[in-house]
Amino acid sequence: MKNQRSKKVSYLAGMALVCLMLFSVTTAQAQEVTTTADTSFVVKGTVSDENGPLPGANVILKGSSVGTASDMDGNFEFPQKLKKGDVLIFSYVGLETQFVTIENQNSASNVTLKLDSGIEEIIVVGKVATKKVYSSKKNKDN
Amino acid sequence: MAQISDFKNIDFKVADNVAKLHKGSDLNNLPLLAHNLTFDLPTDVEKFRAIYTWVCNNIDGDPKQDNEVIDKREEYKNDSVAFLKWNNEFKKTAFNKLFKQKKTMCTGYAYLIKELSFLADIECEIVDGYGRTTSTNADQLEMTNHSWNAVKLNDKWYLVDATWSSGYFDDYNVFINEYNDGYFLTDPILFAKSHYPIDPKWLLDASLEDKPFVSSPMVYSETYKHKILPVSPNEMHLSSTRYAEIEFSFKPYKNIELDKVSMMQYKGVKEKPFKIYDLKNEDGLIKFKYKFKYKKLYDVHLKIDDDIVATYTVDVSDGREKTY
Repeated sequence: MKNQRSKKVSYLAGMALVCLMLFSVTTAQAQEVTTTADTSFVVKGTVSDENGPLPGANVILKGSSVGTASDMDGNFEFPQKLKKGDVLIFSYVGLETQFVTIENQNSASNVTLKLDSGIEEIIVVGKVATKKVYSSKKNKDN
Repeated sequence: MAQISDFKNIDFKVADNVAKLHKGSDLNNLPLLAHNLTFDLPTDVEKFRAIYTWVCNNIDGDPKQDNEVIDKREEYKNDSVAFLKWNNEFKKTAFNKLFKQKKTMCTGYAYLIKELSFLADIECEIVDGYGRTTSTNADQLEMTNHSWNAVKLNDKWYLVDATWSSGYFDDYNVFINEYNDGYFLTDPILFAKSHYPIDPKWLLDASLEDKPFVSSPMVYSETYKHKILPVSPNEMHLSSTRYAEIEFSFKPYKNIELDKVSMMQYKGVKEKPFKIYDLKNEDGLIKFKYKFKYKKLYDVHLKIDDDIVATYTVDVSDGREKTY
């Protein structure tokens, strides 16, 4: 009988502990939410090239598939709040891809994409990969 | 030597399946494509593999662009300013074609590999140089005509050629997509048999850098597919005398059955095999011998199964010394 009571007590104590833990967890979570709310922010800006505002440029958060594209006037608003240290990747066909590290909400307010210097000169060959077999006669004709 | 066998404990099936999963993705958002192809893969070599096989199997070779650039290079060969001006205009068309129709030529393949690697934090360079084929740069370095890539994995540079991995043009100049794994992280010594960079440092092998370009036996995409390295004779054009014994040898990177090895010449369109002898595998080097009987110029083709993997020319004289 005595034994049973002490079991009950320890059961109650256990429940209390669990409640306490749950409570502390929720407060910890709440704290986390408030800290991110403090440091994350909306990032907006304009993408342009040498000719002015650039519609249709891709903006994506590095390491994720979250992204958007610039509108007709080259403006964009990133669909997810960002924090300091996040990297946005700006890209457009034929223009050099640019990485922008976010410091504050104005970090990407004006992004200018340069012409891609990756292809300085296009060098190619006629019919590189054919299934032709070498022949002395044919090569002498050339 | 930096080559694919460095990664023999890695199964590329997972990376290849990731690439297949994204078959048909468009090129309008390269950062997203790079992310999709790589985020699930644990190692750089697998990330690079997914990028490589995706590019090889989703981009088509464009014979029109090849020919157009060749023509213009010929036309403007004495006027580099005019060529550059044309080239800058052409670049826009080429980019449009690559991104809208996914058709390109070698520089486009090399550019995509580099750009997607860069977006996946993998160091990769475009290497320009001389591609050696039956019709170009066979005997000497005539014209820079090709681009490929060097990629840095685990602090080592490796060589790849996405253009030649992607497929070939058939007799009607139609592009056939047929992935050839032989140009992926190829042994630099084998790679150099058909790729000679403008900057010799991209040979990736000091022993190759010091030597002048040698017209070595003609190799084919099948040479890379079967992964064999012609060793001796080391030149394509040989001279010999009647009944003189010539020893041929090549190094297989993977096991090859001796009964699959043969040598032949064409009589018209028919193949006529040579009766080679002393065929053996000696310490990983496959060797055999042959004596040419007639005074003539032979085109001699080495075969593995049904594929021609190397070509020599043998100019056989009657053996009597000429006096001048």
